[in-house]
Amino acid sequence: MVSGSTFQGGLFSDDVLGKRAGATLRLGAYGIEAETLHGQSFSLPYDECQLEVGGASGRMVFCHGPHRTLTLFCEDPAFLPALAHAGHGRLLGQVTRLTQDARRERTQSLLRGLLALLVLVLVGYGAYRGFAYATSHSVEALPIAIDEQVGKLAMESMPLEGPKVTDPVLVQAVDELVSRLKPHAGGTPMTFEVTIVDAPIVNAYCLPGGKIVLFTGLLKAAKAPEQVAGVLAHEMAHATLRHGIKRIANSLGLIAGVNLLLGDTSGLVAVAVELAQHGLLTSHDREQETASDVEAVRMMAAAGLAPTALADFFALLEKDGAEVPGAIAWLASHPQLADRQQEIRQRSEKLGAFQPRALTQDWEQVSRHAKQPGLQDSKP
Amino acid sequence: MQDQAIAVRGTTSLATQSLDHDISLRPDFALLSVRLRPGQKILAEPSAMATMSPTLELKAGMRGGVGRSLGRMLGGESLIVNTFTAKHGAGELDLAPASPGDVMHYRLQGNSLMLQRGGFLAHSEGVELTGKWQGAKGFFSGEGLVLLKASGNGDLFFNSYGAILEIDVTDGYLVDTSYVVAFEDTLQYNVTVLPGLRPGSKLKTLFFGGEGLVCNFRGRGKVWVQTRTAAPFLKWVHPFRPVQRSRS
Repeated sequence: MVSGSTFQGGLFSDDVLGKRAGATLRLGAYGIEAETLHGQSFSLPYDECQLEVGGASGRMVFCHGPHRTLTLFCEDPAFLPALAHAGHGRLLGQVTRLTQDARRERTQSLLRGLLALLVLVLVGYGAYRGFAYATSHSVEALPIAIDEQVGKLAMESMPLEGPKVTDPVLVQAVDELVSRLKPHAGGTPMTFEVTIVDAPIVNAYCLPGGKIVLFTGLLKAAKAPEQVAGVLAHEMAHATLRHGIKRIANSLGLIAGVNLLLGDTSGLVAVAVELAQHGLLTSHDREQETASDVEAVRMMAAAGLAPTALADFFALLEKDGAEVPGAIAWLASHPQLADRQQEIRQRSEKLGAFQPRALTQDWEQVSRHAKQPGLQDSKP
Repeated sequence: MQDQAIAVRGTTSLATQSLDHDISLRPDFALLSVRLRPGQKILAEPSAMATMSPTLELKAGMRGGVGRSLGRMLGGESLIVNTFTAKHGAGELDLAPASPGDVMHYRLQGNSLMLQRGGFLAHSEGVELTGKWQGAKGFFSGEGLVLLKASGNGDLFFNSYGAILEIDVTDGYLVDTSYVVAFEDTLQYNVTVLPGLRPGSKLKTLFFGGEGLVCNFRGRGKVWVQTRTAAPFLKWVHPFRPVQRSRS
C-alpha cells in the first residue's frame, strides 16, 4: 500500500466539539492527516505516533500523539498494514510488535476456547455415562415382577408373524432344551415361556420376564439341537440380564431414572408397549448382544451342551445366509456375526472341558416337523 | 455529564440526514418526538409508536436480511423493525420505549455503539443494527451472549430503565454489568469479578455481596449507565404482590 490511502475512522481531541468526531484518515508522506466531517483538520507525524490496539472488537487501531492530546482511530483491517509501509517504514517496528501480540492473543483465545469446548464435551459425556449407569443400576433394584408385567403387556401388543405351533414334537423338543438350560440361568429365577410361531423367519426374540418367541424358520435352519439350545440360551440371557427393561429405561430418559428410583413404573410399561409395537424392544445394542453371548456360553457349558454350537449356528447363517430363507431377519437384528463367533469360541476355550450330556430328542423328526408343523409321522 | 432534567433539543447539525427531534418528559417517562421531512425515514422497534401524523406510512419487516435480523433477535430485540416514511408530506411521530426511563440520542459518524440487550429504540437511515456475539464475556456477565451493535452514519436513539448517566471514560472505569446501557466501540472491555479482592472475598462478594460482575472498560470513550435496573426492582416489589389462592 502506498502513502496517500484514506480510511474511515475517528479522532479524540479537546479542540473538537464533544471531544470526539468521526474523521477521514489519510496516510500522508510525513504523518497521518485527519479531517472531521465538519471540516476541521489535524495531523499526527509518524515520528510522534504511539500505536495501540483495543476497542470493543479488540481490533481497533489507535494512534496517540504526544501527551495524548490527539488520538486517531480506525477499525479498517487494512489500516495497520498500511501504517507499516507509510512514512518509509517509520512505524514498522511498532506495527510488527502489535501484529505479533494480536497473533499471540488469538492463539491463546483459540486454545482457551478449545479447552472450554473439551471440558464441556467431557462433562456432557460424563453426565451421559453417569445417567446410563444410574438407570441400569436402578433397574437392577426393581423386582422381577415388573419385567414379567412389561413382557406380558408387550407380548399382547406385539403382532406375531404367524400361527402358534402346538405340535407336541416341536413343543417337547424345545421344552427339553429350555429345562436343560433353565437351572443354569443366572440372576433371579424366572419362568421361561417359549412360544413357537410358524413362520419362515430365522429368528428368535425374548421379551422382558422370559417370554421367548421362536420361529419355525430357525428350527428348520439349525443343523443340530445344540444350535437351537445356543440361540435359546442367548435369548434367555437377554431376559436374565434384564436387557429389555434397561433399554426402556434408557429410552424414557431422565424421567425414567427418577421414576424408577421412586418405584413408579407406569411410564415404564407405557413405553414398553410403545417400543414393542415398533419391534424396538427386542433389538439390542452391541454391548447387550455380547453380554448375552457370553452368558449363553456359560449356560451351555454348565448344561452339558457344546457352547460352540451357537458359533456354529452363526457360521451357518453367515455361509448360507443368502440360501436360508428369512435369515436376513437374524442378520439384521444381530450384527457383526464374525466377531461374535470368534468371541464365543474364545470364551468356550477359556471355560475348558465340560461334561457333555446328550439330548434325548430325535433331531431328524424335529426338523421334519419344523418344516410341516402338525405332521403325522408314519412310524411313531 | 449533563443536566438530565431539561429537554434536549436536537439540532440539524448535518442538514443531509439528521433527524429533527425532541426528547421530552425526561428522565422518568421520556418520549421521543421526531419531525420527519418529506421522504425522510425513521426505523423503530415494534410497538414503540405512540402517536403519528397520517402523512406517515408504516411498513413492518425484517431489515438487513436474515443474518442481521437473527443477530438483533439474539440481542434481545425483535426480528421485525418498523419503518416510518413521510410519504405523503412532512409528519410527526412520538415513540415511547417499553420501560419507564430515559431516552438518549447519539449521532453515529462512521463509528459504532454497543448497546445492551433491549436498549434499542429507533434509528435513522444510514445506521445498521445487528447482534454482536460476545462469547465467554457475555456468558459470564449474565446479561446475554449478544450485544447490539449500531454502526454507520446517522442518528441512534436508545432507552434505559431509570435515568441515564453519561460517563466520558478517559482511562479506566468499572460498571456493574447490569447497569451498562451503551458504550462507544473505542472502549475495550472485559467482564470480571470486582478486581483487587482476595480470591476468598471475591467468591463472597459474588454470591452474598450482590456486587458480582463488572464491566472493566479501558481506553477512551463514552459509557452510558442507567440509574436503576429492573431485576432488583422486581425483587423489591415481589413481597407486596397480591397472591391469588386456589379455591380447591
